[in-house]
Amino acid sequence: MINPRNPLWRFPGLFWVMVLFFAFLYVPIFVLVALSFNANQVATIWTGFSWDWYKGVLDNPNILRAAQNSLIVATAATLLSTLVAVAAAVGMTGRRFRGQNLFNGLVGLPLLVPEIVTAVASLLFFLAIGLQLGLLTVILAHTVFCIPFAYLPIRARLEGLDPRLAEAATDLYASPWHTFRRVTLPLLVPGIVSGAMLAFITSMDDFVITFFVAGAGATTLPVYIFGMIRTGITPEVNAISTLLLGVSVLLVALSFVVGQRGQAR
Amino acid sequence: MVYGEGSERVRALDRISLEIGHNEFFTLLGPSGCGKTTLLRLIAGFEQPTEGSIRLYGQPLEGLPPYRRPVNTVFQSYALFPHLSVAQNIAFGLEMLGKPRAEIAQVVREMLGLVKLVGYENRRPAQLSGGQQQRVALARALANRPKVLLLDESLSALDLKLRKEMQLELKRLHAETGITFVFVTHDQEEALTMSDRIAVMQEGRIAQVGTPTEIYDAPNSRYVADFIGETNFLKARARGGVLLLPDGSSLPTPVHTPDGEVTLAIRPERARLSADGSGISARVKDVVYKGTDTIYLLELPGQEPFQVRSQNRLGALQLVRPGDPVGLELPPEAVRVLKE
Repeated sequence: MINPRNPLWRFPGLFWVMVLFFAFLYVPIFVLVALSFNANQVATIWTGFSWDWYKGVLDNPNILRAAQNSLIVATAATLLSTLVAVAAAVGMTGRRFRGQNLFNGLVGLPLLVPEIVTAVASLLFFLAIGLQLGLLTVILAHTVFCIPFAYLPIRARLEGLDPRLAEAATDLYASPWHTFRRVTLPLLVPGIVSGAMLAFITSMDDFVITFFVAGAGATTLPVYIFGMIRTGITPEVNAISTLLLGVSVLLVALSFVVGQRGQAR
Repeated sequence: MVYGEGSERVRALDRISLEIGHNEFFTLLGPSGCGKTTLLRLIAGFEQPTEGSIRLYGQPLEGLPPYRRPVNTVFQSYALFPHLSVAQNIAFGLEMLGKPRAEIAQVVREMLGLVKLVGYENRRPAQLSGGQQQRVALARALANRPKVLLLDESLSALDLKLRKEMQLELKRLHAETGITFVFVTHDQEEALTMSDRIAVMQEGRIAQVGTPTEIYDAPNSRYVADFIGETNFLKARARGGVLLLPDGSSLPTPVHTPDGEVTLAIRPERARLSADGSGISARVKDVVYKGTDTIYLLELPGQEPFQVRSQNRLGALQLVRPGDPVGLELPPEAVRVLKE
C-alpha cells in the first residue's frame, strides 16, 4: 500500500499527519458508535456495555414511524430518479447534438447548488402551486436531487459499453426498442443498481431539504433525530445514528461491489 | 459519400461502382482509411450514402434500417453479447425474426456443428478463446441465412496460426452455405488466398477489380502493384516497340505500348540473375538467405533498388556475393508496363 518510491514519503512526519487526518475523519464516528452501546444514562460517560438503547429505539413508535417514512421516501425517490436517469443517460450517449454539454451540466447541477437554496426554492415552489406539504412533496424534492447521483454511474457504464454491441443487435434484425430491451438494458444493470443505491442512501440521509418541505406527519429519520437532539443528546440518538450509518455503509459497499463486477465483465 | 459539415466535409467514398455476383467471395482490400469499412457499413445500413444507390438482388436498400436488411455482419471485435450464452447469441437474430422455438433450436444445433463448437452452447463469450469467439460470431451471422455476409477485418485480431486456420474455415463455410461473402481486409495475402474477386481501394476509390491472378499478375497501376505483393519498378522509355532503359539496354515490349516515359513493374520471383552475366548490368548490394528462397538486392544505375527472389531448389548455393557485378534477365512475360 505504501510505496517507498513515492517522493511524498520523503517528507518527515508525513505518517503522523496521515494518522491525524484519519483520526479527524473517523474518531467522532467511532465514539458515536461506541457510546450507542453505553449503559450510562448520560450519553458521554462510559460505564458498561448494553443493548438497552437499541431496544428503546425499536420500542419507540415515533422513531419507527420516522424510519418508515424514510424508507417510503427513499424507495419512491430512488425509483423515480433512476427512471429519469436511465432515460437521460440513454439520450445523452452515443450521439452528438447541439447543447449536449449544457444538458449534461444541467443534469449534474443539483450536486453543486447549495442545498439550502434548493430547499427554499422547493418550498416556495410547492407553496406557489398550492401543493400540500407531506410525503409527496418530500418524494418530489428527493427525486430531484437524487437524479444526478443515479445518473453518473449509469452514464459511466453506458459510455463504457462497446457501441458495436448495439450495432450487432440492429444488424441481427432487432428494432431500436428490442436492441435497448435485449442488449443495452441488461448490460446497463450494474450501472443502474449502483446508481439506484447511491440515490437511495442520498435520500435516506438527507436533512436540509426534507426539513423544509416535510409537513406534519412526514417526518423522516434525520429530521426526527434533529428534533431529539434539541432536547439533549441521549444514547438513543447514538443508537439510531449507528443504525443509519450501518445501512449507508452497507449500501455504498454493495454499490461498489456491483460496479466492480460490472467492470470485470 | 460525404461526411461532416462545412469545411470539415470529407468525401469518404467517391465514384464507387461495383457489382458483386451471387455466391461470390468478394474482398475489399486497401490500407486503413481507404474507405473499405465505410463501404461495408453502407451495405449493412449503419451509414447512409449521401448520393448513389445500393441494390441487393435488384431491391434498392436506401432508407432501409440495418434491421430490415437481409444482410449480416461479422465485426472485427466480434461484438458478441457478453450477457448471453453461445446458444443465445446464435439464436438472437432468429428470435428477432420471430421464428418458432423448435426451428431456432434446430438451427442453433446445426450452426454449432458447422463451426465445430458442439458442447459449448452454455458458455459465455468471456469463457471462450479468440478463435472460438470468432466462430460464434460467424455462426450468429450465418444462422439467419443472410443473402450477403459482411466480414469486417474479421480475422485481424487472431494470431498468425489461428488466422491461417480460420482462412480455410471461412472458405469451407462459404462453399457449404452458398452465401455471398463480402470480406474487408488490409492483408493482401489474406485477400489473395480467399477471394474469388478483389477490389483494391485507394483513398475512397476503387483502383482495380479482378481475380487474385489478374490483380497480382496484371496490376493496372503502380499503387496496386506496390500494395499487392512485392514489386520492382524500373523507369524506361518506350520507342518503336522497344523499351529503352537509362543504362542503354533494351527490352522488347510485351504488349503494344505507345511511345513515351513508362514505369515497368516486375515481380521479384519472375526476374532472374543470368548465369553468364548477360542482360541488364547490375551490382549485388546484399544477399539475404530466407530458407525457401534467397533474395538478391541489386543496384541498377539510375533506378530504384531491385530485388530478385530465387528458390533454393538446390540448397543454399551462394554463388554471388555482395559487390559482385551480375546480369539481370527479365523475360518479356515478366514485364508489366504501367501508364504512369
